[in-house]
Formats: sequence, C-alpha cells, structure tokens
Amino acid sequence: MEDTNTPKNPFEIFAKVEDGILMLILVGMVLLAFLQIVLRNIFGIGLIWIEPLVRQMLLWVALVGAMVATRDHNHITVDAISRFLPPGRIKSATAFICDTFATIVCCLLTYSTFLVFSREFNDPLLGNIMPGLPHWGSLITLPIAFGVMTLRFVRFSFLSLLQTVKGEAT
Amino acid sequence: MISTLVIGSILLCLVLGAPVFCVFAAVALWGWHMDGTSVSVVGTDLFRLSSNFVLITIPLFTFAGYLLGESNAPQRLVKLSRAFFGWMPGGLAIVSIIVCSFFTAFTGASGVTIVALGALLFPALLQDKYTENFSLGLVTTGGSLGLLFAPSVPLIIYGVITETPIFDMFIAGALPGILMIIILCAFSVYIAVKTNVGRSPLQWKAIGEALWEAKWEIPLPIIVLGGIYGGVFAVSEAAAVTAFWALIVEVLIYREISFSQLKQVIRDSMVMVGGILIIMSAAMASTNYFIDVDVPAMVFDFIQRFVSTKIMFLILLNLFLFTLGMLLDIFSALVVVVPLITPVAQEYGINNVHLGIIFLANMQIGYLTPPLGMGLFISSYRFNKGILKITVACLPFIAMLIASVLVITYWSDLSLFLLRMTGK
Repeated sequence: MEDTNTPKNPFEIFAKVEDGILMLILVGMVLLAFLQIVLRNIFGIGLIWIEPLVRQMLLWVALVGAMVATRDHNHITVDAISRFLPPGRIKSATAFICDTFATIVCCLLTYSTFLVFSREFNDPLLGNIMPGLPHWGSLITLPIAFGVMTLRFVRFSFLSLLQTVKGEAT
Repeated sequence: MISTLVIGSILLCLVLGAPVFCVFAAVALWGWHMDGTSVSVVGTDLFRLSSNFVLITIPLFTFAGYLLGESNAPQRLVKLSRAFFGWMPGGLAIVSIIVCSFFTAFTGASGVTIVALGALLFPALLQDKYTENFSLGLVTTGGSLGLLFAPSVPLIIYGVITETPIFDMFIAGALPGILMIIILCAFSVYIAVKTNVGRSPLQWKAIGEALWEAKWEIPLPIIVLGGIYGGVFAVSEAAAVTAFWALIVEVLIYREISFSQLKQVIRDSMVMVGGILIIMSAAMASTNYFIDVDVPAMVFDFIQRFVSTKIMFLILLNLFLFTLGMLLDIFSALVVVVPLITPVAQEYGINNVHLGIIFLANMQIGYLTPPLGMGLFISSYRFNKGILKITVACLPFIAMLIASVLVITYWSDLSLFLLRMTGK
C-alpha cells in the first residue's frame, strides 16, 4: 500500500520515521511477549532476554509516544481555564507561557537524563540488557526524546509568541 | 522567597494548561535542586519506567481496545447482545450498558467508548422510542462505565502506584462494578416500562447468526477474563494474548483494518499511552521527592487535626475525590493524589485495595460532572449537542452513580469479599 502524500521536507520525513518506529516497537512488543508465552507454555522454555528487552521497549514506546504527542501538541493538560478562553491575544499569551515553561522543563530533563546516560556510558555498572545491548544503549533514548520535545516546544513557544504579538486568532 | 515564587509559577503553569508531565517534572527538579541533590535523580526515576514488567499491559490492552474500536467489533457486539437481551423490558438500554462497560474496561474510559459505540447505540435507542435525553445520558454515562472491571488501565495504574498486585485490583473491582451496572439497568427497565418502549421477541435464529458472526471475538473476553480470574495467565500474559489475538483477528481474519489504518490505530493509541506513561514516570519522580521530605506524614498530621474517625475521613474523601474528578483527568488524579492519600488512609484503617475502588468509582462520576467532565465534552462533540443539554441528560445517571459510590465506600466487604474468597 503506497502512501499518496510523499514526505517533502526533512520534518515530514522525520515524522514518518517517528511513526514507523512507534509501529515497529509496538508490534515488536506484541510479538515478543506472545512468543514468550508460547515458548513457556508449549515448549517449556523461555528466552531470558525477552523480558528485559520488552521492558525497555515499553520505555521507548512511551518516549516516542510522548514525542508524537508533543508534535501534535496533544499532551494531557488541565484545561480548566484554557478551554474557556476565546481565541485571541490572551489565549495566545497563555499558550506562550505554557510552551515556554514546557521548553525549560524538557531542556532540564534532557540535561538530567543525559547525566544518567553519561555516567553509565563512562562506567557501565548495570551491564547488558541483552547480548549486544548495553544499558547505556537504552538510557540514551531519554535525552534524545526529551531533546526532540524541547525543540518542538521551542517551536510552539515561538509560534504562540508570534500570535500574541500579531494578536491574530488561531 | 525564590522558592515560593518558583512553586507559584509552576502551579500557575499547571492551571494555565501546561503539559501535566512538565509540571510534575518541574516539581521534582526544583525539589531535588533545593535539597542539594543532583538533578540526575530525576533522570534515574524516569528510567524506572522500564523496571516494571506489569506496565506493558497498558500499551497492549490500549492497543487492543483501539483496534477493536476501529473494526466492526462494536457492531457485532451490539448485535449479539441485542439478540440476547433485546426481548427484555429496557432491552436495548441494558445492551448499551453492558456493551459500554465491556468496551470501557478495555479502553480505559479514554473516550473511545463514546466515539466507537455512541454512533451505533444513540440512533438505535432513539429508534426504539427512548427519549432523546435518556439516550444521550445513557450513552455518555456508558463512556466511563466499566472502569472497575479487568483489564481497565486505571485499575492497573492504581496497582502499580501503590504496589498492590494488579490481580487483587481486578478481583476487588468486580462486585462494585456489577453493582453499578445493576443499578443502572434497573433504572433503565423502570424508564422503559414507564414510557412503554417496545421490545423485540427472542429469536433463536438471530442469536445463532450473531454468535456466528462474532465467533472470532467471543473467545477474547473468555480467554482474558477467564485466564486472569482463573489464574491461568499473569495479567501481563493476558495482555499479550489479547493484543496478539486482536491483531490477528481484525487485521488478518476479518480484514477490517487495512495496513494504513493499522498504522493510524497504533499511532493514536500510542500517543495516548505515551501521554499517560510520561505523566506517570514524571509523577514517580516527584512522589519520590515528596516521600523523601515526608509530605505524606505532614498531610496526615494536618488532616488528623480535623478528622478523628474513619467515617468522617471517608465522607471527606468522597467530597474531595468528587471535586478532584471535576477538575482533573483520571490519570493525573491517580498519579498525584494516590501516593499522598494511601499512607493517610492506611492510618485510618482503610484497606489499600478498597481505597483504590473508592477512588476510581468517584473518578468515574467526575467524567460526567461539569465544568470539566471529559465525557460531557466528547459526547457533545460526538452527538453535536450543547454541553448543558448533555449535562442535564446525565443528571439522573449521576444520581444513580453517586448512590452506588456511597454503597461502595461505606460497605467495604463489597470490594473485599471476593478477595477474601481467593484467600487474601
């Protein structure tokens, strides 16, 4: 099945790749977890690397899901106020405050998770998740994901600032 | 001074609508920073998401639920239960209640029930001469019914946060969930008889047909619920079987989901899962900080000054959760409030499992209460009716649910009886 709209710019290509990764991880989780059950209950054996790998995949699916949610600007929020604001300057300014806040937090999270990664990378105490996949290989996904989220929130902040200045309704 | 300012701005951002996970993460980052501890603690806490195997049930069940919602499974399910219950007075209303509960248990009251089943049930209810208000209220209420049944994601999250076995939560939710269903069904029968709604005769041929059409989906609840309750599967195994089964049946056997639709289903369901899990991991980080500085003990000391008895505490708890449900979505509410109130509730002698059931039962009403009940908004969007009209339509149902929440709260055996039967 061909997608009718081929991606044009790097952002769209990246988005496609992101969606593809999301799909790969989830289908992988389903198949691996099911395989483990079949092996255990029918053949009485188990592959010891499946469980730790599936647990890492859970982390990855959460991170990529959160990245895509950021791309859609679709995170869970308390919308007690924003829901009832009419489109206009005040709404844009509110969005600007929230997006800037999210940018700062994601930036700090990128830093914080990078510290954890680099500590493990320089001095691998946790060892391997499975043969060929050291723990730092999974830890690095955190700063990458939060880094991407930071950039996306920067973009949203910029857009909402622009709207606040122009005073246009979204 | 600076600290008050920072905490104040974080709370302001929460109220203005910043992503909830950022708020939790900000609290944790600021807290540890003030504490003089490296902020890498937060990073380590976020990574802990990968240390709990039972969490894989969340993406797997949610994916299966979305997949079923996107296929023609809702039609088959409605047809099947109509064939079975359509002859009863209030038959179609009962069908709606049961089908919605089943669906919500799988999709975790994310609005999928109203979106997937509402379009089917609402016109059918009107056609059967139920009033518009009753039908609207019923379908909207249905969107959060079934939260107490396995394998609902909020039950799993409560279990994970409080380190209660998920299995215990599934067992404990069963009778309270059934109580809600019985009360709503009784109300529907009463309305149906009063307004003289027609019935369809029981036809064995229709039952046979509906059974045959749904032959690939009928094993699913039997495997999952039977597997979990019968002790054949661990909850995580049941989730894997469910997701695998739904994938094979809907994509390869019924062929109702094309490859590109499958991509969309995965994307939609995983955006939701990612949103929930990221909040959860950020909340774990902030909870860790709160526990480090002994916040639960402070909360308990504070409450104890005003509340001396268990009953008094339960009454306040109900009021508090009811208000909370109006303002926060169920996942944020779970991760923020549960770690703080479980130690307090334990001091008042309330069982952890029972507390979870009380919590979710209360939150379920929150879906239907203005100003922020999510069910109201989804329903308003789906059926193109004003929020006010839908709220009014839901009022009798809210009253029924409040009654059942009171029973659930003050009759702890309803939640704990089955658990004791299993030897706990």
